[in-house]
Amino acid sequence: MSTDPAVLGARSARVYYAYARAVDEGDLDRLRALVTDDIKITRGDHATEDGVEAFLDVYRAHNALNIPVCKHVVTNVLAEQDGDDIVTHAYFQATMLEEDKTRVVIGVYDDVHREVDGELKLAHKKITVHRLLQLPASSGTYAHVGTE
Amino acid sequence: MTVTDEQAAVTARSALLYALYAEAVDGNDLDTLRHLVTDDVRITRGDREEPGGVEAFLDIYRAHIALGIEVCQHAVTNVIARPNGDVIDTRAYFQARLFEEHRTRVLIGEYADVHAEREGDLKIVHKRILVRKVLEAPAGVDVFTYAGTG
Repeated sequence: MSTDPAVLGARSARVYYAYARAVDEGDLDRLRALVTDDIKITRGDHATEDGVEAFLDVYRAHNALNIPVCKHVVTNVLAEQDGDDIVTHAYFQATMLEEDKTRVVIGVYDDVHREVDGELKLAHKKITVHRLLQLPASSGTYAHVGTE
Repeated sequence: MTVTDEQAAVTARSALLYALYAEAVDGNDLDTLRHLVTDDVRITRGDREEPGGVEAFLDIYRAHIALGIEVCQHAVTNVIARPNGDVIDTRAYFQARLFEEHRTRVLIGEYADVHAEREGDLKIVHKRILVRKVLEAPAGVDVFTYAGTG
């Protein structure tokens, strides 16, 4: 596996994008496939939780919020080899478009990725929220140009 | 335009430099910023060409730090990089999220930086910043309930 930071960054970005897509689509099976068997998850100052089911419980709780449209946009991915692990850092903006409001969550990820059978997996999910922006509810309709 | 592996590799390297730049700006890390630029770095903001050189470049970020913004994130996306002789011409979109005590500002704009190889390391030769619009929003809050913890 390349240790070139640009290549590592591109590979880790794919893991981040796959994760975001799975979260936003509430796809627990896809999330399960993205993580190592000993996955850990740490959110803010909360205690670290261990194992796949504990990890998925977080996203079961997220799914239970029934947010109509949710988009986790991940950018600025940095990745560096550290022994068997790849230590990463990224920005995220999670836009949660709910019926009566819109919430925009700004924060960082400091995930650990690990190669398992030639595939990069998520070994430790670390989420830190920096700010929450409360905005009005969005409009549910959009006229694509040329369709009116 | 044909997308080649070489173009993808050049773009990945420039995207990394953009991410390191943003991390340094948002972390008020002038030492890292100094390391990311060439000795003769230039900076252009809008139509305004600023004085060249590292210290003049850093003065801009000293002024940014002096604003005392509580949380700042320069999200950089859509990076395209293309070799052009000895340098690499790049383009990117950015969204700068500035969370202040009484308001939030979201800046939407573009970068068109010039990067170049210096002793095996990619550096910023010319920083070009073009802000298109500023979106004003209420102040953000630093209290967030993670799903399942409320």
